[in-house]
Amino acid sequence: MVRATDVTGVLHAVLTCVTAGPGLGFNRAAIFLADAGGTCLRAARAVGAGSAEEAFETWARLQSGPQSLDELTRSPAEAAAGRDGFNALLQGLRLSLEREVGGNPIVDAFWERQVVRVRAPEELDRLPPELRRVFAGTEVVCVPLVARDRGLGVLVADNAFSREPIDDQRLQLLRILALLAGLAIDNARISQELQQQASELESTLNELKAAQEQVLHSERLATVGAVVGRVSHEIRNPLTTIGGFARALVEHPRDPAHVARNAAIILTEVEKLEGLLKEMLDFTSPRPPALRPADLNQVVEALVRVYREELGAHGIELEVELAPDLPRVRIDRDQLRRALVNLWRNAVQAMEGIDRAHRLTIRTAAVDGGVALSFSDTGGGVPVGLREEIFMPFVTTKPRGTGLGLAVVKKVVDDHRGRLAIGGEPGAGATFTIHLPAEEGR
Amino acid sequence: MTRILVVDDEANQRLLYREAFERAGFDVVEAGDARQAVDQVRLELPDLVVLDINMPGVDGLETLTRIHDQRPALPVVLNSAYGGYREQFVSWLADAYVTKSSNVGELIGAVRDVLERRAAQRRGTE
Repeated sequence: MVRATDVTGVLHAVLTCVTAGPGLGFNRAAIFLADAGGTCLRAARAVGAGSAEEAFETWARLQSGPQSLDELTRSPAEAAAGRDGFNALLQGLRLSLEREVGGNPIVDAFWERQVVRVRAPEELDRLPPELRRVFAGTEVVCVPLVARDRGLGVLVADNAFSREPIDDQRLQLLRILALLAGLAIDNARISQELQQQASELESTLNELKAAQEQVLHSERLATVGAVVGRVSHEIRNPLTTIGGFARALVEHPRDPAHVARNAAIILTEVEKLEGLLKEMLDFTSPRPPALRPADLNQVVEALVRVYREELGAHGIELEVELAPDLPRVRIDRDQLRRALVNLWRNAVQAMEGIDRAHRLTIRTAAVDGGVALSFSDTGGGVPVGLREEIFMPFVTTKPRGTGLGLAVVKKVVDDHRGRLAIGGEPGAGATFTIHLPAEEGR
Repeated sequence: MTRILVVDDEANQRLLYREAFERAGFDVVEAGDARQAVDQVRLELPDLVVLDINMPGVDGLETLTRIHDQRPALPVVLNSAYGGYREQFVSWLADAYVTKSSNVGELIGAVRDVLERRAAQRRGTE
């Protein structure tokens, strides 16, 4: 079958139907199509012999084995072999679409949208000279091709070699065929346009995809660069100390007091590195939370017992306000504890180096549908522009640290189906609040 | 004796540098943060400052400008765990930039270079 989206294929199929013996049996047929600007008709395709000799040869060959119409229409290249002379005669021919009285009958058929028959020899004089030779001494019919009330072109057919007169029945069939052909050509053009648009869209899409990949790739590289910079800084500091004291041990081995002390320092720094490694692994390979009902106040009290003393060393006052009527929540104690330790450390570090009296305030409260737990410090606060970014891994405003602390907090709160909010006046301190749904709310 | 002020927030690193510089024949004073550093510059009158540019609180770079405000001619050697900013910092107020490593010899070498350069400059202007 001919693909309906292929204009050339459709033209060939139509012309084959017009010319083939099992079809309408015209000797020759050609289709002229109007160009996009409507200024001329172009010979688009023709089927038939170029000369009487060629025609007789073809007929002789066709008589040796019958061919069905379907076979004939199948492939323009194959089927047209030996029937291509007419196409060659007309190739490249253009007819001006300008109208004149008593002008070109093909152009008349186009504008009038009516069949024009050229019978008498003198009528042939109305054809342009190059066509006059082609159609000399034959009767020609010009049938307009129309679709959606628009002229597409003209189908021209004749019996140049058999000289058989064109009867009304043949002409009627030719008009019906031309009607269908117009629709088929129009469809094929629309499909071709759609296909072209689709392929343009596809290539635009591919370009966009490529650009997006490029952006993602550079973002990934930038992120990797930031991570490597941050992590290598965190590794280099303890490594410098470890290496330096190890070197001192090698260079001055006979100093027993220093040997023990240097070994202790090396151990402390190795523990720092191990802590860093644990922090990074915790972030990159966390286990899913094992949620169990718990009293959040108890979790906070346990945390305060362990870390309270550390605050005194930093000269930070601690205030704990726990709401007595707190609904129970479903939490993974280990993970939530880690998040709270990170918030605690974050608060302490935020207050370090800022010269004023400091206080860490921890509050719990029953809120709509759950509980709120907040950590408020009196440090530098978080600039409004950084309040979303600060929870991203490896983002930090501090000179030390991996930038993973708050990212871990965010991850844990998300895993608990909670919400994490950040508040406080920039310059006066920050408040981090964790909202967790109450146990009943599950 | 030439006096070096070592500014670093890590106590263990200060100790490492103190001992290495003392063995190399320097007199060493220490500061753990920016404020202490500025105080020590005023009180101990060091001949050179070894400054970690990444300390909590006031950033090392701000410390550098504060030291510079106080004693514009005091040579400063930046000592950092970051390796990427060498050109940027050296062209600034500091005399040299050393990436932290376990080989304190590099840092001592840089300190000696800076001191010699300064001494040569003084001889040239006399």
